[in-house]
Amino acid sequence: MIDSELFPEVYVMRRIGQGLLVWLVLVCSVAASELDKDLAQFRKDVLDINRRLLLLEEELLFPADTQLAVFVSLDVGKYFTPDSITLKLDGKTIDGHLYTDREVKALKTGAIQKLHTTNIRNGSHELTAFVSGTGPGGREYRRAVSLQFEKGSGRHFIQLRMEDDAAAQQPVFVFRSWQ
Amino acid sequence: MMVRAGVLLLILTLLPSPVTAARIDQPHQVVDPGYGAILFEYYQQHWFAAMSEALMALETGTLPTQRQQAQVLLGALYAHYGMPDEAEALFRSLLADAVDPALAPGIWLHLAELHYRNQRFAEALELLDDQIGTPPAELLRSFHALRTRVLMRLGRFEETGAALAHVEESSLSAYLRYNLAVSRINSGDGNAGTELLWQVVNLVPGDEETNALKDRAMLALGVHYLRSGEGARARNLLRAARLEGPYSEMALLLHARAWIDSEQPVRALGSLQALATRSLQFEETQEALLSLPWLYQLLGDASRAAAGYRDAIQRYTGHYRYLAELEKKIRAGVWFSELVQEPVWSTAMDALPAFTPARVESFPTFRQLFASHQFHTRWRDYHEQLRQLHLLQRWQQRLPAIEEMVAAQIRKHSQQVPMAEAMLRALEQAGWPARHNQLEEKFRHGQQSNDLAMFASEEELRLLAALEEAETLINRWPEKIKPEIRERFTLQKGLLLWQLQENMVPRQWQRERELRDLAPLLADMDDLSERVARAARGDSHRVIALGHKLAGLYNELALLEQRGDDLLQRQQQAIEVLALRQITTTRDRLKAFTAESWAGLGDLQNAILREQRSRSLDEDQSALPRSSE
Repeated sequence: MIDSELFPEVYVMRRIGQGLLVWLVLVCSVAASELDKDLAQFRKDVLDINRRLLLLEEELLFPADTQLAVFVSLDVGKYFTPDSITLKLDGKTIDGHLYTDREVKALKTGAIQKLHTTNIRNGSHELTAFVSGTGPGGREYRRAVSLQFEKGSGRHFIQLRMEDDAAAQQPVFVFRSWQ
Repeated sequence: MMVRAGVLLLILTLLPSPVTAARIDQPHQVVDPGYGAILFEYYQQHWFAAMSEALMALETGTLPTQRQQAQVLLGALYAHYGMPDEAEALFRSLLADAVDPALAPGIWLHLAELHYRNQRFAEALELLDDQIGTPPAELLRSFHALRTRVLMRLGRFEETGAALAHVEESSLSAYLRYNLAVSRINSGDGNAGTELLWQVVNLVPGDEETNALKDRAMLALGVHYLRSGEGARARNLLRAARLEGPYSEMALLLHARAWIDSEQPVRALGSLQALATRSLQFEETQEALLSLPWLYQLLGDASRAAAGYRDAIQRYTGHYRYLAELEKKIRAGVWFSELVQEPVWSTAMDALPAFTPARVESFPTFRQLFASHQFHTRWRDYHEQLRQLHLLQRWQQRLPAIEEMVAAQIRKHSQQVPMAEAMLRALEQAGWPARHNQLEEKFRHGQQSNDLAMFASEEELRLLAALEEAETLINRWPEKIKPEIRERFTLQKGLLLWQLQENMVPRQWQRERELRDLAPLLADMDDLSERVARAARGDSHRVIALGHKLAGLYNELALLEQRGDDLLQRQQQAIEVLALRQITTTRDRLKAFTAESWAGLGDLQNAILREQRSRSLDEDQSALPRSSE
């Protein structure tokens, strides 16, 4: 080790070096704090512009008066795990979706999927969902479920609820429709 | 030796817990599909998408009943996403707005977590104790996990032990188990701590992460045994440590130290020799290079000690030069560009893809830096920044299409609104309500005047007209009409009038109903025309607003991209500063080790010389004639 009495110059230089290091660390931490603040502000601005663009896009693609949004939920999911869903509106296929494990897990945890958004005219319509997946006892399970609904003015929402019927030990598929 | 072990333990203790803060990851009742859609992204760890979904839902009013829940979730996402000020502002506004009492403890917990992250530990503890006190069952684990971490940071280890009692150990992840073990040891409960550490050590070997954690737990145990004076247990444990993986060098060094502490230095040689052959990029190798000649000297092997010191000085010098080259590469930005690998994108809203530093030549030099929380945060932020820039670029690409859609809407507006206005004018000119009123008036008049013709059918009207014509003719030439014909005519007329009179009530009722049915039709038409008028007016506002919204977006996106690029540069510089700081520290250590090596070599040569001199003196003295004799 260097003794300060024997090597005063070296000792002083080392102390200066240590001081500089401390100063550098302080300057860096202040800069890092500023950077974090700027990053947070940038993220806020990106989120804001992203929100505005998404709303603008939705407004252009799906105006409120003609919009139909279809949601899917899975209540418990003990007797059914979805693999895929195909949607038909007035006899025409409008969407199909294959589920990933993460999506199924999210649905089982209580999330609701916004499966499809489209435009339709006011009046009577029929929505059909073809659902396939794994049913009770690990068997392949397919079901089709239909809903006749009247589209009025304003947004229309339909939710396909895949629920467990504990008494029958079977899944049940029901539509809920509201405006 | 013990100081170093203590420092290691302190570092291990202060490493942030990988357990995330209170998350809404338990199934709970979802009423609003808008809220469920946010959770759909959240549960898949699509943080950015979840935030965007939440912001849109809050603005479009699709959360009639779960608005506050969505706000709490948004706040938690802000906090997780490096926007603590936004999160705090949102939580405080929720608490100020008489939030649902069931949500309040969760919000206080999030606020305490924010204080903890900002190193305001006393404030965090105050919130936990004063505002929450007794947490609801669903927050119990998160509450006590956070409280434990806060107490640890405050250095209140005795209370940490009490707080840990609330955490159910069987449900802990390996990481939390490890952290708990270290904090228990720090709080003086060594037995409980070592028990937990042994659980981690005895985990079934698995992926690289699990194996590294097992190694780390083994080292922590070794350090604990060394500190407790249980050298033999420490040695046995460290002997079983793996000779590969990120903690193998530290294990070898500790193993050597355990033997030296046990005053059996010869048995430390193997570990130190093995360590000395490894890359000088590891701190442990640097230390071993200095310890090895010292050990040779201790064991009386002066020549190997001298060779060891010289080897150490040579390798330190070489490494010093390597660091100088590396510093140049860092300052030129070459190091960073080598380190960053091109990320693989799916969509800009997805979770972050794996983004690990490339295994470049200098990777081992910064092994500890790469494992540090500071680097990890900066590295993740850098990637997040890249992703956001990617998102902005995608919007830039989509903006012309949006512009075209707006233009189409404007075209449609300019075609349809005049059509609608023309239809409304025609409708107004037709004056349907006035005509309806006239009909009603006419009906009332006919009803009051008992006007049979008004309620007759077309056939009856034709008959009535024919009878009236016949009557006119009869009256014109009465002499030419035979009496029986006149009688028949009178009978026919009487019959028709009787028939009309007989059905008068149902006929009037029929007409009245028809008039009544017209009223709602007219009301519907009125409503429809009002809606068309409103739509035409509203569409004008909408189209104008669309134009305005679009006008600024090009510039805003370009400016944001510019800002993003600048921030990306600053983040790169921040990471480079971290690397340079480590180089400075390593260089200082190398300087000190080199000086120590020179000093050791000097001392050694001095000792050899003194020994040689004393030996020659002894020989000289023994060779001298004994004068006294």
